[in-house]
Amino acid sequence: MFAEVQCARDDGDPAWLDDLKAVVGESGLSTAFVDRLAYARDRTPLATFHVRSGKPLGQLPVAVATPQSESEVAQIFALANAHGFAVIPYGAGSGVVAGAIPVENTVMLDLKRLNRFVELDEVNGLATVQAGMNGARFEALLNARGWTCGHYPQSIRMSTVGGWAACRGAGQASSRYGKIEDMVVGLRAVLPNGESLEVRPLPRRAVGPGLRDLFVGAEGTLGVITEMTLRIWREPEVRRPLVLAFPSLDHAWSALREMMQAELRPEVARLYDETESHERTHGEGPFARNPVLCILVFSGKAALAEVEERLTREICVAQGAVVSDNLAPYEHWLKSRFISYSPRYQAKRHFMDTIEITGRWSALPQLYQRIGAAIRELHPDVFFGTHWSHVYPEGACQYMTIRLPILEDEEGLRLHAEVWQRAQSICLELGGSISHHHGVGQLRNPWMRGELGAGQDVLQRVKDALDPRNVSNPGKLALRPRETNDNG
Amino acid sequence: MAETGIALLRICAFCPNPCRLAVPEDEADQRESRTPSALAYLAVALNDGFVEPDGETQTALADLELAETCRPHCVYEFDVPAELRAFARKQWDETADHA
Repeated sequence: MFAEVQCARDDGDPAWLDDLKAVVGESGLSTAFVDRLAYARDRTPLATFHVRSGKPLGQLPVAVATPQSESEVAQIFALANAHGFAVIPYGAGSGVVAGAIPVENTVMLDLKRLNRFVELDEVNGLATVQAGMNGARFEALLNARGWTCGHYPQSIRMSTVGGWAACRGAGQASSRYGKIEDMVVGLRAVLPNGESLEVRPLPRRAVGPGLRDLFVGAEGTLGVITEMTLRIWREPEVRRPLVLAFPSLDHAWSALREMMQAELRPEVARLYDETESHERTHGEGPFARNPVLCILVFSGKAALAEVEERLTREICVAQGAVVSDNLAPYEHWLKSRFISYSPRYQAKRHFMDTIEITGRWSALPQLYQRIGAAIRELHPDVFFGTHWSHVYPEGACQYMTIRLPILEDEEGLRLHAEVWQRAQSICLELGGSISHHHGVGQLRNPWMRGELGAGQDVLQRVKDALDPRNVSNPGKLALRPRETNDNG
Repeated sequence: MAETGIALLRICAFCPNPCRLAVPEDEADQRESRTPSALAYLAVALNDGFVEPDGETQTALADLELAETCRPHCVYEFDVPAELRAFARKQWDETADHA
């Protein structure tokens, strides 16, 4: 319980805290209980289930460091190697897979003071920004100059630009602008041994494996991103929403597949199962007979967006869709697109979570039916709703919301673990990827071997080579957890 | 939403802080513990007996500068700083009464 940690503060701070304080200054280091408490969680539902009962999911950190420069980050890593403490990078803590949960002997590395907009290069369409800048503030600065990053995760207001890359995120406009790995063209990072590394921002290069991807998606296990240069875009002239009512999911999947394979690129493509459709349409208008809701948005040059919308509309109508005159479902999405929180359930004692996976078009029907059936049999009152967003020529992201009713902690945690076990196992069995854009953290460790096969060993060897003392966000991505001899 | 008091703070405590976009880059102290959600969780933890009231928690709950900065951006239009002030008053007044 937190109170036990709070009351056990007089057992002596480690001597290396003085060295750390010499690096970041008095104001850049805290060992206060209230700070350690605040950094004991991110927004992982499993962490929420724990802290609402007064328990941490992992450990409380020893200290919180808030460096102001890349040099300070490098010196912190040098101290970590010398003294054997773990360093866990922390942006705004919006992650949902326990990627920033402290382990034993951890210093949390809050990057939010590395938050400067460095350069807008309007000739080459590039923006350079420090990793700790808030995502919505970054986008607002670009918008003020007529540009957009094109990366609009639901968490944009409560995440950092560096966090987007570290977790290999995807935004709601990914079908047009790509995912974060399509946007990062250069970066600076600090390796776990304290050395700095720059990947110069260029459109492309053919000089061996891309070093950028040692960091984009590595969740801080191979070092810390301190600055990034992102590809940016002119703000679109228009946005043209299209609300469609499909007779079935099979018809809708076929239409979206045909749309993407015809090289049509909506900014937004969201398809909802009947459960989630009904929440948004109440079965009214065309949805009385065609219960499956699909929202598309076409954007960019006005003339081009008009053509893309018209061609897509033809594909969808041929698949039985009815175009809805009522844009209310689109307007509702637009209003709530950056709100991820469900106070009715998450602040109370429900056990609610979301699981996103990737599947090929051919596998989506089975992924949906089998996972849904496996989860519904867990409890008579479980909610299971699904939508598909982030569509590709080859497949789509399947985003599932699972909500167990109010339960005692022991039973809720047991069923929650079973939800994950069933969803991830069936996903692997059907050839999907266990994560589309939330990442791995420590929550998905049990399924990484199934995801990567022998690749997990390769990843561990890369980690061992770059971080032999295992100081940089240890135990995530199913990499080796901290061991006694890592503590120095 | 019509919640007030600890019920309102409980909602804020588990909210992921979308209001944090109000925090300017120049803010020198960006610690997570100063965000509305962290302060609200501290209050909930005190209320539920997970954390003991002491000088440190009292000082933390009195630092509402960042919470005030974020207040206009609350998705639920809550006045979290006002609720935190009311909670702290009740918490420490009652503690003093019992002392």
